[in-house]
Amino acid sequence: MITFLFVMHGLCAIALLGAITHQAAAVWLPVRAPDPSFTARFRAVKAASYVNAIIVLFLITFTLGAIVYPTYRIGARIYMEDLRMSAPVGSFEVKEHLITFALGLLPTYWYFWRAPLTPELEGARKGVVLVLAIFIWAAFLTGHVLNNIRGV
Amino acid sequence: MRLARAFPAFSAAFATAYLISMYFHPTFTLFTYAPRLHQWFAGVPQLPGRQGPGMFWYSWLATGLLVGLLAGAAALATPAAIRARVWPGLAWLVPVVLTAILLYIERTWFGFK
Repeated sequence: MITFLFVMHGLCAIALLGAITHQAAAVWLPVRAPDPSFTARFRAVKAASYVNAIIVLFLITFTLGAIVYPTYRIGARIYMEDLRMSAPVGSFEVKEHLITFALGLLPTYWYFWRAPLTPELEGARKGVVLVLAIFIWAAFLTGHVLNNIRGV
Repeated sequence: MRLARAFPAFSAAFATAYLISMYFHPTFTLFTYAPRLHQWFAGVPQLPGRQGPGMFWYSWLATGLLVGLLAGAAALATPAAIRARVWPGLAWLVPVVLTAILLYIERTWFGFK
């Protein structure tokens, strides 16, 4: 069961990563003129339409992570500690804190992106999306590398 | 939605209280989860080696949530004129500053003194 939940945690994280990257690209690198290239199409999405999907995916991924966390704590982490792999253990510590910061940021993220979008909040919207994207990318890469070292 | 005006204050207070709770562990740790025992304990119990380690992350989350809710309620009680003066960019600046502090706190894992 834990393996299933862990796989689902990873799959939801991938979907979340795609959604937040699309949104961050659309907000920070908007397409000004019609361009049929792949990168332009990647950036040409309607950023606001991703908000609810990102929040739901984040909450599912976070909840699944919180459920499988004890298995990591008494399994993979102790294995790494026994091998004195302090950087990977520390990386997970940083990951759990960053993703907690991101969790706390979600209500504000939703508040800034609710319709109608106000121009005076545009800078804050861009900042919050970028911070969320960086936190989610950092958490994903850390989790991926740690799973390669010792899977749950 | 009037309640939503409390969200920026909630977010800032949640993350700040979480980090303080983590850094000053066990001072603000409300409860502990023992994964080997599948049991929750109030405070920070002394777990014998075979029963440990304890997990405190869930407690730090709860502390952040409580403080965040209080800050949100305080924000709702604050006059709109004062709320309007708060720079909305604090929403992203606060987690950025907290991340810098976090990386400093956690530096020893990566060989920095």
